[in-house]
Amino acid sequence: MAVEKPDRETATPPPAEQQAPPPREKTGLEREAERLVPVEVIPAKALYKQVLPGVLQVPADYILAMVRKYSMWPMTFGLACCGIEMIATYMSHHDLDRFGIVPWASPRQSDVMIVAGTVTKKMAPAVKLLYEQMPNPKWVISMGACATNGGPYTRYDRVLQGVDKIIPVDVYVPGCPPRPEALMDGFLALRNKIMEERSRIGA
Amino acid sequence: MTTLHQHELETIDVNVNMGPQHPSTHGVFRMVLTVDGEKIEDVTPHIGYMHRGAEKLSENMDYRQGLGYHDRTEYLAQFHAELCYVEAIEKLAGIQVPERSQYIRVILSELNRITSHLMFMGAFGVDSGIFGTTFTYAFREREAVQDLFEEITGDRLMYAYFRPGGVAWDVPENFVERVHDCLGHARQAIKDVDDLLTQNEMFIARTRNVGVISQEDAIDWGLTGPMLRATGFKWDLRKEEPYCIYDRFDFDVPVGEQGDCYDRYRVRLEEMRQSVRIVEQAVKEFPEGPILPEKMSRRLRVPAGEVYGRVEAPRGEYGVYIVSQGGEKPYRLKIRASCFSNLMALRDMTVGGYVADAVMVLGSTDIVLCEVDR
Amino acid sequence: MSEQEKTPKPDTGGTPAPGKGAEASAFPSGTIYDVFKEALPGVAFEPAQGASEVILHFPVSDLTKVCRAAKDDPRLDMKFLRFLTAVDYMDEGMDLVYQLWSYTRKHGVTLKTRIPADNLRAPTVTNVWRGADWHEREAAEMFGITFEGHPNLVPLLLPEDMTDHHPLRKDVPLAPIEEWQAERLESSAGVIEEVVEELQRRGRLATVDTEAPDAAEGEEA
Repeated sequence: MAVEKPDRETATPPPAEQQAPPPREKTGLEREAERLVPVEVIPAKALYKQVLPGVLQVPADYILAMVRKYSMWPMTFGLACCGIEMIATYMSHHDLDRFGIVPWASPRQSDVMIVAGTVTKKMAPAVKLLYEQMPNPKWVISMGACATNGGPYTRYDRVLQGVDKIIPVDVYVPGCPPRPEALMDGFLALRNKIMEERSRIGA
Repeated sequence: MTTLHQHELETIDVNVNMGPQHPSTHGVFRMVLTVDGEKIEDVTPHIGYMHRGAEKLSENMDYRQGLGYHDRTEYLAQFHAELCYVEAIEKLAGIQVPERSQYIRVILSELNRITSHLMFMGAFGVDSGIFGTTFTYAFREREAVQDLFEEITGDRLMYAYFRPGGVAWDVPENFVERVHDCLGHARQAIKDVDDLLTQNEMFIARTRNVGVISQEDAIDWGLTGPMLRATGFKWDLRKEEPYCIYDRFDFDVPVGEQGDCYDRYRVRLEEMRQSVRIVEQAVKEFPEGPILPEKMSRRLRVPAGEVYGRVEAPRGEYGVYIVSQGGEKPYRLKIRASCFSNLMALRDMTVGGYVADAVMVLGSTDIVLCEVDR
Repeated sequence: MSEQEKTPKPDTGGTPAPGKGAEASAFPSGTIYDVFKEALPGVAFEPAQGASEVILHFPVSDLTKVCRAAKDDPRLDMKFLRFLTAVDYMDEGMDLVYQLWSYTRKHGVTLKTRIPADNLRAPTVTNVWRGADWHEREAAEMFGITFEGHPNLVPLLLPEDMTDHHPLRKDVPLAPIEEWQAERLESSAGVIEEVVEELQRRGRLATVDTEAPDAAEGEEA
């Protein structure tokens, strides 16, 4: 069962159709998505990492990671049925605000993107565009079976079989739809991941 | 509006794109508004961002497997969608449903109508600027009813509980007490939402005379459900073409007057009260007995034929059209989604209004994108 | 509606052969078929009984006439077009299905026409019911039917750049599960078999014989 998990940077697009379709004019969204160049994560050249390298970096990374993980602001991206469970998790019964997780509509000021629902091929350029609009550091939680691998709709050819074909995903939360407790578990797992990967995040 | 002469100020119409990711579009819906200042000249809705091919996939699946797609198509009124599907199969295959199952179906469907309308109240309140208050109150009670659904079916959202012939398994022993509990929560929710929204000046200012559609237009576009009843046309499938055992219960059908957003809100609020009435009557007469017919084969083979089953879902008429050529899989399954037809009238309702009104009209249509796109 | 189900006949969901006059006269009277015959005497209707409604087949050349009469004629008065869709019968053509309902008369009907497979064109009914707009757009992109006279026949649900094949046609297969997942499924198949064998050995796994005839039925195998 040794299958390599696809690497972040070398995520390949879905395989081509059997017969090559004729070249068609790109839609506006696709042109926009091509125009935006993905930002590379450059190893940090922050001051605290240049002065006595290693001495200040370790506690600074720890503090920065702690600060980031206790205040993750997700972008509200409820696409389909999982969006309802995401909303239910924000509401008073299974409160997410007590973890510091506040839903935020704009991608420019959010940290996490919860892809909740099926991503169709029509929606895929918009998802990519929104991901590129988020500033670093950013994480992605793929919520539900549809975002993980297409879910119950995986055999339809207009459905993207998993959102990890276009954007790198950090945490997969299975379920159809996952319980609010499962989504909370996903956020806690993301916290652990942020803490473990603190030295690789960058500035 | 403006006192400047046309020569002094050159204006052009601007295309404003709303969506597909937008806090107020209720899912992935894209509208391109052509605006002249703030006034809307034209609306072009773009849908299909959630088109997942439930119809094509149902053709390759058993009738029993296909049930799951209807939950996911109407993800706020799941029991209604399931009821429509299983009733269509029962009509086609000639299966008789025992009494206890019928009562279970009615009680769960009406409670589901209450939860669906509570979701609408919450989202509509958010659209009109009352950010969070109505939503949290509505969801608190909605969670209580969802707990009952979870106790019975095992799932919070995608129940898959109805089967052709009855329901999957029997309800727990304390079902009647739990339903009375839920009714208490539902009444509290109706009271809360009523207190917060009905007499609220800001809410009335944002919804009165906004998004008006006339009765003839509504019928021509194929609107159903609260959208049609708000225009003053009294049509409810539970009364006119009774399905399940709705003809045994005594309830009213609320209608509006003007066909604007405020009337749609009032119609839905009143419908919640009538649903409470229906559930109260149903639990009084709740019978004992089997939940599936005795001669139930393990394999469901449906004879050749065609059927169009429809129910009065919270958003309108949800229908399933099945063409069967015998066998275990449908030859063609078409879902007549209520929101698909309701959304066609969006242009008529928003043109001439302001950009802020477009949001209110879209909210009052109470669309579920998975139903529009299937 | 219940009186129409008195004598249910198996539906002519397949090819309606021409010259079914003998069967048409055997159709029970007092249904909507009689009203249609009265209102449109020149159109050759072939009735059938579906499980919920009467189904009327007619040739596609009469489509506009029939639909306009269905809406405007006071005896029919069907102002509500519930949906319109198509059913693919591959080489035999496609059936266009119109489900109508009258609010005032409380009667409904399923109208069907057959269009040949090599000429998938039909006149539009958006000038009769405005609510046919998106239904026709969807049928056009899902099946490849052209509705002549439709004001805006662009793809509705499918992405604009992926309209090279029509999904709901019968000759279009389901998509295969793509590479990465197929590999994982194959590589985990051995593990699943081992687990199943172990459970069977311990007697913890009940087997259901899906090929045996059902106990409750007699003639159906």
